[in-house]
Amino acid sequence: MGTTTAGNRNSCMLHGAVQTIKSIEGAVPIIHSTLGCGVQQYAGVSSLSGGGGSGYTGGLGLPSTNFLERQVVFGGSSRLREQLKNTVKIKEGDFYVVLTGCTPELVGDDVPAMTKELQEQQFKAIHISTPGFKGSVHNGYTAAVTGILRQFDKLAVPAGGKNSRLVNLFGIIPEQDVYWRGNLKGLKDSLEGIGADVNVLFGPDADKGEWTTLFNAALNVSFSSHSLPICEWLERNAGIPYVHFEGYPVGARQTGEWLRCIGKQLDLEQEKVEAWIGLKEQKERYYIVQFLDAYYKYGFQKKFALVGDSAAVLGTARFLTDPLGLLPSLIVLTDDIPQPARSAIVRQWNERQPGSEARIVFESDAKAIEELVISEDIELLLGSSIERRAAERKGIPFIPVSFPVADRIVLTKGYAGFDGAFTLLEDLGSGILSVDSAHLLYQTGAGSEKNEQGANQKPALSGIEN
Amino acid sequence: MAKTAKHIAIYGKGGIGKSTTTSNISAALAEAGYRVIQIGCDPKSDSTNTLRGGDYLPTVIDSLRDSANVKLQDVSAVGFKGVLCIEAGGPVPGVGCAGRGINAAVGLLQELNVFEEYEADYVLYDVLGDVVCGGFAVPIRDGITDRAYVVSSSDFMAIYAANNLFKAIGKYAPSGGAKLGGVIGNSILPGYPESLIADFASRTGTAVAGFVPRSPVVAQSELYGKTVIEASPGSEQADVYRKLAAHVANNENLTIPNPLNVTDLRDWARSWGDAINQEAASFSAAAR
Repeated sequence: MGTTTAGNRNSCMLHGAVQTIKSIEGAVPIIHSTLGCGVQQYAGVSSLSGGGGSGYTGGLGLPSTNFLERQVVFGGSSRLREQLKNTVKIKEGDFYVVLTGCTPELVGDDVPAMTKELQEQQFKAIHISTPGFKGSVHNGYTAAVTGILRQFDKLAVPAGGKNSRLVNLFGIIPEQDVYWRGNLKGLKDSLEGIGADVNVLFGPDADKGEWTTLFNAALNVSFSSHSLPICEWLERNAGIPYVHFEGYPVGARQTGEWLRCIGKQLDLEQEKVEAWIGLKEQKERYYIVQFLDAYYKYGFQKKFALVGDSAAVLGTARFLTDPLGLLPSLIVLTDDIPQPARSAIVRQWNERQPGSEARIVFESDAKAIEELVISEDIELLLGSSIERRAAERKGIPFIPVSFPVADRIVLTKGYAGFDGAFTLLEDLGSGILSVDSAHLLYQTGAGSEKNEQGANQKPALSGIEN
Repeated sequence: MAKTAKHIAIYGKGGIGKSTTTSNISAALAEAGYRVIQIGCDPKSDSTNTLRGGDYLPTVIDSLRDSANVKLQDVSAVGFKGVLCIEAGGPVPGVGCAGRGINAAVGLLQELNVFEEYEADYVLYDVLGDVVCGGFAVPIRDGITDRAYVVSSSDFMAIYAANNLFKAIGKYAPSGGAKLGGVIGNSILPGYPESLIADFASRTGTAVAGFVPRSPVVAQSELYGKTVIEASPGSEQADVYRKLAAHVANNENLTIPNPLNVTDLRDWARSWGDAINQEAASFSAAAR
């Protein structure tokens, strides 16, 4: 028997592919599917990802064949041909990617024949089979990237020669990771410090031509079990080795470890790597010292629960636990992770946080997650906008860290890498202070003695009470 | 008060003679004075050819492609003794979804209120029997027909297709779909075929609706583009169809069949293989 999922945050394969392709500079996604698939991606994913917009190629500007019953019965190939013909007239792009939704996949349209026609007209075009019924947004990311790699010869001539310092980053899924742009930037900045060249591939920080040098890379980095198939494909077909991490690194300790590993793989000068890490550790110490007064004053050492995609929240959970000293109680991972990867995540967590009493739960049902969170003895909740209500019910601070984030605009912000940790500190601090309004009383003379939620009214340092 | 038509689906493996059988049943019912509609639910759209002289008839699906506003007269032709002939049609082979085509066509006919407007007594659906997907099961779902017959010869593959259809009926009947009226044995030669089909029917909890012997009259009528009822009304074969039509029209002994599983079906077939061998041996012994 099937089960229901309340408040699904993992959308579908087509959506994952759409947001992946539209986040590549110069790529034009074209949906071959029924009416509404595109707008659902826009309203249900992009808009809820920190207010992500249409941009030039996505959202409300997304070309679609709007499959009708006529196309179901007689086949939709000619409708697609018409759509392709018109799209190339009005949407300029480096290349076009046809993404097929559920209905044409059931009908069995000959989509490759249509993209071939476009290729014969000197346009770069490929097709990727992405029916929604085949999986989640994460599978859509995997399908889109491997789809491009498999048909790479239709898109570009690989730039010649290996680059022994070049690294490709995979596993940060545009829009499903609300802070994807900031995270990619944070990782790029961190990597460049040790002398590596980086292909982030998506968003504004991907340099022109990154996709053409992708095959020249010396190493691929995977941050999610959803990017593993991509790295495995590249290892098999292009001989590029990969390293896999469960979640991107946050803060000096994790980023330092990560960079040491990559430096070793790329055979980079060790002194330079250590010098860079040392510099960044110093910077982190500086900010943590600056942060320390607030930390004690408002009692930041809270028991917390964290909810979200494994790639997006595991690093954050580690950083909050060590060095920040918060007390992890419950970690809910909401993406569909294969069983072996689940065991690996739990094992790694226990190895790296030996004293931790945190429970790791794999659950995507919003109702079940709410029940878990409500019954958990916690003082701080990090998660998506879906979890905000639970935090309000418990009267505890809430920090939005995972998809969907419906009440903030997110552009450049990210938590990954060295400097991302400072953004996390700021968000954490602001989240805690916004609920704990008691400080307003003795600092400004305003506010009431009682907080509406009744939580954490007393500053951590009792000596400064009025 | 509006007349309530009996909706009857006739299934069978491709090429087994279900269009011939259905058309002759329609013709016999029309000859008996009933108002009959025959709907071909096969992408080949050749179900009603012998009822209407084989002229071109636009299919429902073709009309849907060309216009959203389809009228009954655009997609129907009045054939022998007033039988209203309709072909659901479908896409060209290898393209699109024929199953959805059947679904859309039947839906449109209901929307057009064809059955009430035409004041039909009987509506016969001639459906491709390899029920390959949900679309081909539309005529036996709730609210379309309430009874189905399956045409089968004594060939194993035809029996196999019939057994598959029983599975589809078994799935839909409990929720209001059509029940099984019985098996129509077609192209029956002398010897074992009648007993084989009767045995299959009894094993699966159904009955034989009638046997139609193999006859050159059928082939001849088809070559003239007519049903047997029209081309050779005085023939024995025409009487066979009249009797079958009367049974199909009046039979209320409807069942939910118990299809055999793959192994049982295989074993059952093997036992008949042995029986036929023995029959052949005794024939040759008698000849000596």
